[in-house]
Formats: sequence, structure tokens, C-alpha cells
Amino acid sequence: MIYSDIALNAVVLAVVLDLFLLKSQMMTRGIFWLTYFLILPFQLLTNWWLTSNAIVMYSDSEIIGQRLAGAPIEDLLFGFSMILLTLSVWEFFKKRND
Amino acid sequence: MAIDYAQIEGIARGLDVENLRYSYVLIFVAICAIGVNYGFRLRFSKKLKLFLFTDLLILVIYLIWDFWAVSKGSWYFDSNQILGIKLLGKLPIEEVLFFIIVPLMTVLTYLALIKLTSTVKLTTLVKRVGSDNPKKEPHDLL
Repeated sequence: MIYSDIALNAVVLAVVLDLFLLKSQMMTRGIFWLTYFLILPFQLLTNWWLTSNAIVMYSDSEIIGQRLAGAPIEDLLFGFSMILLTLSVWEFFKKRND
Repeated sequence: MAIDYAQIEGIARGLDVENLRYSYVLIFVAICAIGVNYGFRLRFSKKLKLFLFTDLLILVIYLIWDFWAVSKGSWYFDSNQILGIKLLGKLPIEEVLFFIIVPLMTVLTYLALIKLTSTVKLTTLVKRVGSDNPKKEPHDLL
């Protein structure tokens, strides 16, 4: 499994956790998408810094090769999975805390 | 986990400003986080325990993934642009901090937007009620 496969699996895992297991269902809420699309440009900015300066480098055989702001397109999947999972888990614990 | 003092001492002696280039990302996000927390009066320190539970899960998932990917060479780091302190001899400390500071910023952005949108809704409501019922007293509207 290369980065592309794992990144795709991470999105599937995050979506399944959010909708069915943790039942936070962040994906059905506008505030989640607002948060995501506000963070996205900052992800692209930091990706650009890390890759254009060759601070982080990727093996060609691990990515499909399409790049955005210097970083492999797979990074979008990784970023989305982490933002969704973070907010979904946060809401899950918050519900039990209240 | 045992701390290798000799390694840290060696790193401190050979450290150059160039070694901070990955850290700049972390410092930038940390400044944003402090700004948003105080700017929106989010009192995040009161929610620290909740965040720790959340981030623990994120750390476990993403550090295992990261460690595995670095081990097989999916991605690698320029040793001149990182501090050189590595988890289990492999994963730059910057990566570990990244998985703390970025989820922190994610939650802060979310909380700030909740506060912002609810304030906007309330203001719009007050304005609308105010213009539609110019002569009514506030208690008439309840």
C-alpha cells in the first residue's frame, strides 16, 4: 500500500467513525465544512513551505504524482481525515462530558 | 522512554538557524492558536482535558501511520532543516508536535466559528425584530 491507498483509507475510516461509530455526524453540519474550508488554505500554505524548501520530500513510487501547492495531492486526503477525525472525536467526548 | 542526553547535547552544540525551518510552521500555527484563543475569548484552558483525550487518539493513529511511512521511505526529512531530536530514532520531534498543534488549531477554529456564527445570528435577529417592531418593548417579543 502506497501513500495514496493509506490516505484514501484514512478518509474512509474518518467518515465511518464520524457517521456511524462515534455518531458525531460532523459531516452533516455546515459549521464543519466552514471550519474545513477555512483551514484548507493554511494547509496549502504550510505544505508549500515544507515541500518547496525540500524540508519534507516524498518518494515517487509512493504517490500518484499529481501535486498541489508543492505537496502530493494525497495530502488533501490526509488533511481532511485529520480535521474530520479531530472534530468528530472532540464532539464525541464533549457529549459524554456534558 | 529513556532520554539520550548526549544526543541532545550534541544537537544543541551543532544547532544552526537553518535547523528551525520545519519549526517555523509549528511556531506560525501556535501564534495563530494563541491569537484566536484570546481574540475570541474561548477560554481553551478550561477545555484542556477534553482536548487531551481527543488528541491522544489522533496522536496514536497518525504517529503509527507516520512512523510506518518513514520506515518504508514514503517520505523523508532534510536533516539540515529539522532539530534532529527523533522519536524512537526515526520520527522528527516536529512531526509529533505537528499532531498536537494542528488538531489544537482545528478545535480552536471550530470553536471560534461557532461563537462567530451564533453572534452573527443573534445580531441579525435583534436587528430584524427591532426594525419589524419599532414600537414594541423587549418583553412584548418574548
